[in-house]
Amino acid sequence: MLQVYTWEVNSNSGKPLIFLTEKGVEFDFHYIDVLKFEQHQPEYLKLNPQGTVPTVVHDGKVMTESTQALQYLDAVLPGPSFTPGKPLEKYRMRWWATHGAAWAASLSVLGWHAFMGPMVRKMGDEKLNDLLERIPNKQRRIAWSTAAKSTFTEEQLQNARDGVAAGVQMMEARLRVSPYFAGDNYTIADMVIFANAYSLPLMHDYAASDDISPCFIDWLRRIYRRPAIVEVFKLGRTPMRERAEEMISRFAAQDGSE
Amino acid sequence: MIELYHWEPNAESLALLICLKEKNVEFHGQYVDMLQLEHHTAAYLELSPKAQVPLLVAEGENMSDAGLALQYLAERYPEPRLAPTDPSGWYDLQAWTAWLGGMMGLAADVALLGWNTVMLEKMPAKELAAFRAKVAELPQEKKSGWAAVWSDAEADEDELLNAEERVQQQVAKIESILIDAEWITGGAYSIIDMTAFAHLHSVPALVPGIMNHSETPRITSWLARMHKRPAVAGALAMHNSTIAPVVYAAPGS
Repeated sequence: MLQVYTWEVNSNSGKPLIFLTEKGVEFDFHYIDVLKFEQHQPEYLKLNPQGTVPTVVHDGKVMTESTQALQYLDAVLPGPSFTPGKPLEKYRMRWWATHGAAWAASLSVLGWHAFMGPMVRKMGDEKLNDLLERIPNKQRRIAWSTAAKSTFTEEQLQNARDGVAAGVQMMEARLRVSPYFAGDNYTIADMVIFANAYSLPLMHDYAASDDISPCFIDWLRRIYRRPAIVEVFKLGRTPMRERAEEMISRFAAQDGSE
Repeated sequence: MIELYHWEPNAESLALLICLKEKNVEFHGQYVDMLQLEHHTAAYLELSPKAQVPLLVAEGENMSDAGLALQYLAERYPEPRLAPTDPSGWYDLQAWTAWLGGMMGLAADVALLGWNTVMLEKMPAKELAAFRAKVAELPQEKKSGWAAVWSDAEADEDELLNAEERVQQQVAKIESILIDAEWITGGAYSIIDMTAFAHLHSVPALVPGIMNHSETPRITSWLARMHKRPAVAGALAMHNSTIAPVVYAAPGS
């Protein structure tokens, strides 16, 4: 049986959820609450010593590299294939899956500042500091502490907005050439990028809109029309789910008026 | 025909050179002198907008991600086999690729140590000054990444010790894997051995305390096995720099 330890339909956490829903394969969903730092608790660290989400376990094989895990699952599970056959197309898929959402590091700064930071700070300083102390890796501890306390300067926030805008333009340039990132077909690369990009026009319209990134918006619209995508967001338990639902109704309204 | 833009036979340039030679694929090699900042010329930036070296050009595609380019070669030219074909073995190979490559990984730490312990000491003062002057002229946005390693200030002692500590941890991980195995992953010689070798082969010269016959006997004999392969020896012989032989000496030689 397939075990998926993960959080929301968002960023790395969302990748296996989106992929397995597209694949139509059943799995056990173990919700790891990142806002409660459950991924740094001893029980989870036994499974994944790095304390990252997601972790996917199939036939005893424990996988913590999410993009690579999707390629493994695509090869071993029944259902439609989301990996191209030719080596060159595979290179493109892997390139976009690896680099196509690099801008999400900038997005994450803004997300923590606006949304995640205020949510975790509700637990109070003492508890928050205690949880931060448990993070196994020193660099990750510093990064989480900065994020959780939102000690970003205005310059850092502006750099992050610039990073998101540049990322959208990189995607736009690619989508002007081909309908999906690896070429003519919807692949794992699209799912990986969508997991990060799904609400950009809503939260970051200075970077993504019909005017400044029409091909990117059209790609989003095509993906939101997929039944598996509408379905997968029902797994969400935070306001992130509402953002996706707002996107779904926004596109549905446009489709209706066409 | 395949083209490979590469620098010295070191790091990812070396891994791709070894792979092409192992596969016996005909290719046109183009030396990019990074010490002359040739990777920041307008002509090169056309091919690789982020100034990445090496760059594999195949089927008209400019492949700037060396780890993924190695995977491409493994699949495009299946013989001789240099990667597992089962999904589980392929996952492991990809996880190793992600782990070994990139600015956050082993490659960055070894580059930092190499720059500070060999290049800064062995490079003639005049060449070094000329190089730094060129780096200083780069536009600000080009000064991140590797250019930061090469910036005008030397890394401080703490940074070097941290890098050494991280390299030591990575080396320990590989040493423990080689207890039961001749090669790093998948039970056979693969592109991961090439990548790991490309990043690690200089460590015995750079930081002898981390990698040597008594501390890391298995890695040391794995390095020797690699050196014995004609493709590896052939790739290493392509060096073009006066500093190179210091770094590329075989362990024990």
